[in-house]
Amino acid sequence: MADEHAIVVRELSRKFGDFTAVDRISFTVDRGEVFGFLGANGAGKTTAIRMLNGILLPTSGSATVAGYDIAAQQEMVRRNIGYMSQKFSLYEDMTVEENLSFYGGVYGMSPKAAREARERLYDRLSLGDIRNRLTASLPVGWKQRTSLACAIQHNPRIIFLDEPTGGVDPVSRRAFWDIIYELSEQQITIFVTTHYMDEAEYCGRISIMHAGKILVMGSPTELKREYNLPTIEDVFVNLAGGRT
Amino acid sequence: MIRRLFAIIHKEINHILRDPRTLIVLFAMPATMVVLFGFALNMDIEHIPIAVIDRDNTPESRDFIRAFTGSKYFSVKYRIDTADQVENLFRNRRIKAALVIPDGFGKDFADRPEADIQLLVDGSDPTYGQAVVNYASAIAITYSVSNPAVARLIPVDIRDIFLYNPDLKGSNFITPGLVAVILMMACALLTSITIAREKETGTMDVLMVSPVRPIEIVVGKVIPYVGVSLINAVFILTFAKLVFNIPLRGDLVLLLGLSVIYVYCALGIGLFISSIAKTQQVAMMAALVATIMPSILLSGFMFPIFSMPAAIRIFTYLVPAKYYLEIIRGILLKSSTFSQLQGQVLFLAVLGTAFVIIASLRFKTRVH
Repeated sequence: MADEHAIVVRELSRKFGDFTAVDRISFTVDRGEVFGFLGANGAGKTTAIRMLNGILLPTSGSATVAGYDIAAQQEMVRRNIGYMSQKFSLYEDMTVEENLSFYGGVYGMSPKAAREARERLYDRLSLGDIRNRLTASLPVGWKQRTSLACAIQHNPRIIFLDEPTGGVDPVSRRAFWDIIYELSEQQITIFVTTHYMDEAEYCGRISIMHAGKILVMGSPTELKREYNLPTIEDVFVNLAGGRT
Repeated sequence: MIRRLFAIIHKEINHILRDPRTLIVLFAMPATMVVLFGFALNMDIEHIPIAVIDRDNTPESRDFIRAFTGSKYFSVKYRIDTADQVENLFRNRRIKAALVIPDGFGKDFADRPEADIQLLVDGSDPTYGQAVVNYASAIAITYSVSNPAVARLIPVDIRDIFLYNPDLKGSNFITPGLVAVILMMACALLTSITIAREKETGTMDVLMVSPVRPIEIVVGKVIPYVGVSLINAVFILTFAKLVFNIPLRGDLVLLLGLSVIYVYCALGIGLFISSIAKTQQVAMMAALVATIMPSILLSGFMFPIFSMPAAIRIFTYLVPAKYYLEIIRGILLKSSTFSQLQGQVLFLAVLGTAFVIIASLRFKTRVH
């Protein structure tokens, strides 16, 4: 059943002029999986994510996200995903509640539904006490949680986290991942890119991309065993570093 | 669609109210410009300092000089005897002109009547110098006509009446023009940074991934700024009325209505710049250059369009301020009606829509 696969990518490529940013990548991500999408800067990660988010068309190949074609049904793709970027895209001159309310409107939620979703998230992410504070004045960890709340309040089936924990202290990072696991248990698919290799260890399955191609894919444990290396960082350096 | 649009409008209103820069651009900047331009650009020249050399020294010559001292255009600063001193006064910038009445003036004028007067003018500023000559000639003619013998000799007497601005007050002409320049600048400046700011902070990435359509972003940003800009227009006009007592004739509701279309055009330019610029700094600079220069130089604000070379005159058709100047001067000074301004309105609407469409399309090109 198609529903078991949250993301299906077949031979997806994207060229910019003569430069091939993404070169015939194929993979599937199951529902409720935490999928780590690794690669050095310039490996083609961002281009791949932009295609999966329905804001960049592929040159060739195809992909479905939440069952919708990324080329033909971009709007349906966008309605069913949540996106949180590395920069914590909050409006800093607005409060936590105003940010949430804005993104609720952007996703077409009714004021009532948005209010209910907000109340649930305040509980779940312990944001209730800071709801009326301007996000500019918040510590990084709280900004990160607020960004996450903005990305998940419309109940997306897949959440894209683009380097979500940059600059966050280890305690906040751990707390963040606890929330990610909770979401995963509710059959929400998590697609995460990261530079932090210790963070890659949290993923159920990871892929490592280099020069537009996916080199390896598997669970962190499998990969470490396969390459006989102690950490994912060693595996990554071995693969990506050895080829540049 | 409506919910997404409303969310963006609401957010923009928050940005406007919370950014002190907006208030500066909306109120402090226009007030400063009205005062500076209004006083500095005053083209009415009065109290021109002159020197008088009266070699005649008769009742007639003194009478003639009185015509100058009694005029508000001239003020006689020096009465001297020799021409040598004149040079010095010019060089020290004490006087702009010198009136030389030759010996025998009174006698000639009474007898013939025909008399020569010499006027020495500082020609280093030609515009100013020309004005001095015009004022002096006017006084001389008035004086001549007062002689019954001369009055009989003038066959055609032109009695000119200046309509709409009878005093030829410069501020009546300049202040409405200032409204056009300031509105254009403030609107373009404010909107030019809105998209660039979202690109800089990264919020644009999130919006791109959301179901929001580019046109919703653009329209959602335009609507609140139209409201803010109208408040700005009312503020500038009220301020100009209080400081320079410019006439507010004509249909003010019509003026506000047509201002909406001009503002829409200015916002379109701002959004277009914003969609190209990557940072707020670049956007602000581009907005200032792209709006101030054409609005002041090519709109008819300072230089009449009909005296420009043909190539440049064609270019002025792309300057929104040109049409708005015709609208605002028409309504405020001549009480023009809507049907007399239809052409200007049409041009503004077309220009504005073109900019908004191009700005929206700029998003799409990033997708493909």
